Amino acid sequence: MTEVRLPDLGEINEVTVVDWLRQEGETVVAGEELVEVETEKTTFVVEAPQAGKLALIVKKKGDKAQINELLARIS
Amino acid sequence: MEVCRGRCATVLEGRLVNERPQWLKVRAPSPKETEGMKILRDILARYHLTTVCQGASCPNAVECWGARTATFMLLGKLCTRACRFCGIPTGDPGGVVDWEEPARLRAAVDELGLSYVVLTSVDRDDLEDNGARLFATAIAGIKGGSEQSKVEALVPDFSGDEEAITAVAAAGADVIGHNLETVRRLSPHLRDRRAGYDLSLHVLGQFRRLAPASIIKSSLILGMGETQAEILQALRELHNAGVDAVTFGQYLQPTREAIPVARYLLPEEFDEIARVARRIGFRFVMAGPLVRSSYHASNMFKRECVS
Repeated sequence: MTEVRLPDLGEINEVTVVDWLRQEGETVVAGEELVEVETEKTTFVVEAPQAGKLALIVKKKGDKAQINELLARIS
Repeated sequence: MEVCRGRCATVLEGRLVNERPQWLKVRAPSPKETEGMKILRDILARYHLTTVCQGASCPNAVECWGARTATFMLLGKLCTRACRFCGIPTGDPGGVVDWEEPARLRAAVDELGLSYVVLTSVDRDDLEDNGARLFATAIAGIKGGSEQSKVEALVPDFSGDEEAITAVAAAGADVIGHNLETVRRLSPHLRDRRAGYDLSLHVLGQFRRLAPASIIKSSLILGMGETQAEILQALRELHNAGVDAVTFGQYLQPTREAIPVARYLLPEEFDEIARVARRIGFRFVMAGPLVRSSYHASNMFKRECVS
């Protein structure tokens, strides 16, 4: 099980999940764009750290997330 | 051009898009970039230094910090001015100047091994010299350092004070930048009342005259309601003031209090503006949605040295 955590994004503390580009149960490859998160000024695209199945989405569309918080799990 | 209210909408190919266009999305950092960011953040904290990347929540911070470059912001975190597009907090620093800052900056630059250093500052209308002496000391400190780093100084208008401008011009920066920010018509609405379109042009002209060996640079933020004709006028006036280098980027609303984005320009529109600027005669032009006044600043300088 690999954890997908919100990476360090500079001096940003909190983001909002805009959209999941892959859904639970789907297979992902390493480096594939997984989820879009945004601040007031910027939209960031978080990539899959490893290949596998997107087993669980922890932070759903519209949820807030902080740096290093768990976004999803890849099995 | 209509200024939209609240969450910004833009019309693309006849469709109303309520989100940021695809070209403004930024990749989250790789583990290697995260490591670079951590090293930089630790050094900034150890030397008590501030960057404009933080205050302005810059979208390029991941890329720049990952490559261990940053734009240092001198003279504190509070700006005495309140331009409506800026995310730097406004306040009264109460005349306090940290005279140890230039020495700490030089030590941090040495430790990071930076060959190109970009310096800027907040506006300090609370100081008699508007912060010019500290700014000049910081520039001269790096120029006199062991690294022989190039320095780009992105300076405020120093209220047009001749003595202040002379001191900063003499400090030896390789590039001196002062941002015009927007077109003539919008300037009084968007910039602080103490700033001014003609004042900025005057300051740029003064630096041109007093620092003949330096590259003089300025920047416009686009997408705040300006027209093509107004951009062209601003470019001509910048060129007449003796400016060598211009950059253009998309305005992004930094805080809820800041003005909303009027329009997201297409990447092709930035290309066209760059072509126009080159035709007018600027030696360097950098334009693109995520271009900021100091973005990839060192590349521009390197290209200049070659050409």
